[in-house]
Amino acid sequence: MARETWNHFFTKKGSEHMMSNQRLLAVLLMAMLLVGVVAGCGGTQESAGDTQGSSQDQQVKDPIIIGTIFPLSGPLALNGKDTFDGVEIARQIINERGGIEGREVKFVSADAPDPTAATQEADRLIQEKKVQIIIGTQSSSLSLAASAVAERNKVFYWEVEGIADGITGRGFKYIFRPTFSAQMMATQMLNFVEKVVAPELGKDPKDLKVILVHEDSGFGTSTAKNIEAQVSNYSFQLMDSQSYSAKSAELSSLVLSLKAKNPDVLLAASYVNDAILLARTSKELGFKPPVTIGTTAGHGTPDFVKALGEDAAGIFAAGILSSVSPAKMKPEFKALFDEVTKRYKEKYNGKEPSVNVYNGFSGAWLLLHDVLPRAQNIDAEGVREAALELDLPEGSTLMGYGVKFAGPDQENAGQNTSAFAAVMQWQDGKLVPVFPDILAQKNPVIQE
Amino acid sequence: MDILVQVVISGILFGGIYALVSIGLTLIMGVMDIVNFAHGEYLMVALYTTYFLNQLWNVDPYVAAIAVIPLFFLFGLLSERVLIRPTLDKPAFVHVFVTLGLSIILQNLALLMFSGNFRSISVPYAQYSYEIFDILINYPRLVIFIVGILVAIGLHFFLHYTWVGKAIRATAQNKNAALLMGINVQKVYAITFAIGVSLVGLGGSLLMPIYSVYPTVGFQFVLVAFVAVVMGGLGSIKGAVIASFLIGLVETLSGFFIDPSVKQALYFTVFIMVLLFRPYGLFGKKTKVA
Repeated sequence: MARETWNHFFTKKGSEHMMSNQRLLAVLLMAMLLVGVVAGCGGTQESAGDTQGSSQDQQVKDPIIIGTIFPLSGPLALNGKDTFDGVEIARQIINERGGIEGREVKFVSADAPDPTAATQEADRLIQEKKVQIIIGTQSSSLSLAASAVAERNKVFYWEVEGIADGITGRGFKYIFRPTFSAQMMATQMLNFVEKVVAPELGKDPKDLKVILVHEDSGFGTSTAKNIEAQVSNYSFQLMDSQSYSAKSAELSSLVLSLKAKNPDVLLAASYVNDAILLARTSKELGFKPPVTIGTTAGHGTPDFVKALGEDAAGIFAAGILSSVSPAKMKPEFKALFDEVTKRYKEKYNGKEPSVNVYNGFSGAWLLLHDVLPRAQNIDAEGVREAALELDLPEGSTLMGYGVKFAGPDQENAGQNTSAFAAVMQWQDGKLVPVFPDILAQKNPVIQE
Repeated sequence: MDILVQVVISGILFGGIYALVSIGLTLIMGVMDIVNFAHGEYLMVALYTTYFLNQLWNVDPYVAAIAVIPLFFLFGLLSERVLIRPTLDKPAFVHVFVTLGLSIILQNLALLMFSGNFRSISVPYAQYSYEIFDILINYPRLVIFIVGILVAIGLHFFLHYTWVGKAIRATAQNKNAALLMGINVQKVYAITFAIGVSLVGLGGSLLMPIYSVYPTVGFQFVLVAFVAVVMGGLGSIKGAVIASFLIGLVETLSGFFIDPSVKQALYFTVFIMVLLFRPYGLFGKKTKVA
């Protein structure tokens, strides 16, 4: 207190000013809080309700009700909406073709911006709407949450997009994933090294010097584990495996130690920021391995190419396909591809569909077109058995892969073992699919 | 041998980055006795300012620095007036709340306005390196190193040979005595805070060619800056600079010779050792002098 009187005594500006400042500060803070609250509210609104699109008539048979859970609001909404649009287009086309054995397909759609909402919505769909089949969810965290509820209630859960290993790694009976898993992304990186990189570099895979670097949080560590666990199936070995913190501002030491080892291939499980810093520091210190293969979580992102510009050229990224080309599709899928593109563009004034739209369509189409008609009863058990019996060769889906689900007694129960990730390369500022053949739009460019 | 020299040089250059970021922090801490937890967010705002100057008007980051310094001086004056001054005579935890609150507000405003994307600029010289006897010296890192040293020396002279500088040191030594000698302590505080903020602004501009900016980027640099400030002795500019180089060297050497994952453990060990033997830091004294 004494100090305050001192201040008051010696300086012109007294405590009145201080008060008004504090009030101003309080008002400012309140305003900020309010902005925060308002912004937060937007994300949690429920946008559920039947999407009863068709007013056509009245089939005698009951409709098939399927629940959908996607992030339609909040930070994941951009991709979530696209995926859901693809799923919805599949439903429309199936219904226009007469439904499934005469039964119309209806969706009860739920919005799940975060895992808590995903849990609640899954619960609501199952308890209130009595759905037996759920399609989800775009994001792995949402999928992990929602599918746990489905499993508890013995409801069939069809995951069209989340790639976390945990989704099919929990020994669940009712989860099925037509798309690839993170583990299969690691497989594809290794396949690419053995089948493409080694011959292109003119080396026996045995002599190939391959080094793995990974950031040390969940993503990088699990990817690294997947790579390390599978590399024994290949004829090359990992020369070294190094972890680093994605939050570190200093990667010079890592780059210098890599440079000293002079690898032919650098595998990098990085996030965006560290992928950029790694590439920049490598250039500063004159480290340029002939082949760098990152993932679509880091080296394959738009932020990466914006930061690196021309220096990104030639770098590979494994993961989710960057763009879909109908060139190598069967005629039936070519027609569907055009139809999806047309419908999406009509809905959004000519905007080109993203990969998520096709991926959502591909997954939903497989369920509605190939699984459900094979089911004896359209309930969780019946659909589950039909899915397990499915055995389709490569090229049987819009996204190119075949279908064969792992059974309940196998590892990764419910995972489509015929799915695969893509490998892309930055060419002329675009991320072009180059591997495997069925997805490739251009040849990989590899220079010594 | 070459590679050892290269690692040491990379470490010293990297220490320059920490030095540039920690000088402003130690100045504010030494003079005002305020731990500015929003220091990293000032750095973040400076990075965004430089980024947008570059994206919108194609301003070179080094030219942007010339605009950012006075801009951040004003920004510093403003935040001192609105946030710091009303809380000066309150207990220390109030300062913690105010600056931590400011840091959270700035981070979330940035997230709201600019999203969480990683933004970076590309200037032709960004990854350019001088090659001297096979040793590569990156141009933007060299600039940071030189500017960091110059700023430290300049600040030393400013504090010792100008009226304002002497007033700042007098205030740092004893606020009440300074007040009795007719020094306008409020003004001194305002100027000190503004200088601290404008220095971190300068840091932001110079870092932009190397790093990406995103709402929580401050954390990447400031945690270590805090370590450097405490290790060097609170308020000691020389101490903060030398500690920064020490940390940079420890990080790079341990990252190269042991493993990148043990870097942090190692420099924190050095930190604890220093504090064990010199509880007031390398150059700290029981009574603080700027």
